[in-house]
Amino acid sequence: MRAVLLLLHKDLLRRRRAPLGVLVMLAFPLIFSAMLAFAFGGSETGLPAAKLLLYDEDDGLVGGLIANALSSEQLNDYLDVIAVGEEGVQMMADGEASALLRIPSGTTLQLFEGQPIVLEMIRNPTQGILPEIAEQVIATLTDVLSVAARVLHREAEGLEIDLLDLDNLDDQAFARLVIRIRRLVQVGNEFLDEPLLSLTVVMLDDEGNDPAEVASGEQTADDTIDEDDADDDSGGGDDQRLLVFLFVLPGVSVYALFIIGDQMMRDVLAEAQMGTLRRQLSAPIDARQVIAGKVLLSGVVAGLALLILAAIAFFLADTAVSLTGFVALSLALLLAVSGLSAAIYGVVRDEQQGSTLSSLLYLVLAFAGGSFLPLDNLPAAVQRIAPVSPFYWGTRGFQDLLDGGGLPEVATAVLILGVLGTVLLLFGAWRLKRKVLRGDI
Amino acid sequence: MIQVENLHKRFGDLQAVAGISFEIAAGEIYGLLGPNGAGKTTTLSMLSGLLAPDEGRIRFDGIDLASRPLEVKGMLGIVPQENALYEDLSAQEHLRLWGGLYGLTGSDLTTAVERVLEWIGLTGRDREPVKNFSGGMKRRLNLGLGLVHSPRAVLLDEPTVGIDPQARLNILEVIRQVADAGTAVLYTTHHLEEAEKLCDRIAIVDHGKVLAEGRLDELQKMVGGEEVLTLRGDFDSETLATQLTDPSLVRVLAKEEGRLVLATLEQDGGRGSVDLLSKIFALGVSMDGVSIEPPSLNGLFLKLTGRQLRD
Repeated sequence: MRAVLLLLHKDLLRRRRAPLGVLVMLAFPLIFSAMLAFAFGGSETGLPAAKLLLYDEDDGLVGGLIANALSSEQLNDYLDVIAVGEEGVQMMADGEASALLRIPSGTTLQLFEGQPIVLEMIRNPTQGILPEIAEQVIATLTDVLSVAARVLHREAEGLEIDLLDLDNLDDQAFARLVIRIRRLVQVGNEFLDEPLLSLTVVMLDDEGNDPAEVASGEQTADDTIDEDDADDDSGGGDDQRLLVFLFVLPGVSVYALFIIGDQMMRDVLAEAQMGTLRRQLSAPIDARQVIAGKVLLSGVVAGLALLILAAIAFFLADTAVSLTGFVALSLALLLAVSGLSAAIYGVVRDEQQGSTLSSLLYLVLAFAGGSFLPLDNLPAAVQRIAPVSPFYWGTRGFQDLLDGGGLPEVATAVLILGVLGTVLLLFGAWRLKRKVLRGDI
Repeated sequence: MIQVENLHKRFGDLQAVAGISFEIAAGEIYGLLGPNGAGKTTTLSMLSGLLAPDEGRIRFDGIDLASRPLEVKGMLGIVPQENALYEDLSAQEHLRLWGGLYGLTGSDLTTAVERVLEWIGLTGRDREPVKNFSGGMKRRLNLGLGLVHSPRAVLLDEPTVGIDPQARLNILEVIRQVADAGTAVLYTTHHLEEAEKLCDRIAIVDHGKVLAEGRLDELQKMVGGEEVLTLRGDFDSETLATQLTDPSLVRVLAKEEGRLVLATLEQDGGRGSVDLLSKIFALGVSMDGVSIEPPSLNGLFLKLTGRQLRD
């Protein structure tokens, strides 16, 4: 172990003396995310309001509430709500709007009867981040309405008020209802129940006229914009930019971590060319210790980079993040980073071949894994293969943490990254050791 | 201290080492002298434990390298042909790293580092990054890394390649000091003068075989008074060789188109070459050049292989 630590110390010293490579990769996610934030995050200067078509088949209380909420002054900068009929579907097919929200017929009636309702949203993938903004606003709204509807339903039942006959409701009964609802909402326990109102998101296909469902399920509080962010949206361009920055940062950071890990592992081949690898192997240490030193270096440098990026992200997000979730996800990700780079340099012939292969592979895996663009904006075929990419699990895990998730929410990502990393690391270390002992490098 | 028996190593169709054997005693400097590609570095790689021999046995102080590699490696100091250094680290950091890898710690390590820095003349510059060093300084540090742990045997692979005469002198002095302290030294080179000046015993190697071995005076005796003549010109080597061959006067070492290498047998204080040249001129042979190699190790190598050491 002492020999491994000596080798690690030597490599860390070398990085400290020549830190440019690591610093560039560390700055990359910050600069890239900031550029995207400035390009798409300023409501006054760059990003137009998302055009949201509201197709209200129900024509009842729910539709009215949603329309009113979406037309509020605070949301004017972000959403341009247009009421439409059936022609809205054709407008979406023609690419005339960012998204369409359909409120099915009978929604109000079902809601007051306490039955679950699914609203349908169609997104236009050609409009970049605009449909995402519309979806996040609607998802927040459905959460709020879901809670309100449940409370309203129970309290009305308790007070023997017929919600379907509101025209005949006397003032006294209405006042009692409002007071009880207000008290209950303050308690907030109803958040623990399943939502009554949920949102299904549909993405237009490549032709734009035959919607295919690409993601469905209940949008809960975890998937929506952070409550503070939502409140602050009225603050203008800076908040919007921050939102975009934090949305992009996890994915780009995961990409940068893999590149940093790759740089460190590539050092095995660089040392072979410098002759220092043979010199180490002529000392009384074996090949496993030399490789362990490089794996450790890859993990330590990527880990330091991760800590710096995470500190910046969490500081900017100004939100509490699960420490256990973060530690578990980080360790699993670092294992995957070291494992993938060890596997690559275990199979390539020389440093140049390794550098070319890893650059291409990491780019493909990062795009497929949604590190650069939201998965919703990628073709359905890419979305299906995304879980194969470790970048997908890393990106998704950190986004979940930033959205308030904890260890349970990132457990799947931790497990997959951990297992994948271990398998790749064992394979890569075995290949590297074989190459070293055979004098192939 | 070092015993090598019947080493063989093949790379595909190339038989790099074909049955090399030798022994080196403690305090002795043993030179492997041969041209590039003779099998010196391959032999050294096998002795360093970096390459497994196809056949043969290597023992250090009676311990078999193949069965106890880490123990043997701990006794060895390796000085590779190319400078194996980190440009951003200082001499002191290099020495501390390698001393540490060989198990030195604390004050033992500090003392060893200071001793080696003094030997290689880098005291005072030991905290500068290696990238600021001259070629000679890098060579000296490269040597120092193989000595920091006071090894019982040192294997040096052409440690003076590409440096100025002063730095070379310094390196040769250090090697002599190390040997005088009781360390067995294996020194590979293709510099005749270095081998003659430094080595206690020399093995002349080519094509993976030891062609001759012994002390300098023994090898010189093998050369005898023979001179080696190399003739170049527009002539038929085969015909000329037949015309000149008189077993009592001359021996053909090599013949190829436009080149003939002959050894003249010792005769009356070097008269052989003169007589031979007279005979060649008398035959009216058209020649572009003649070189005469007096009795020396290079002459011996030429005599044994028909090639110059630096061919």
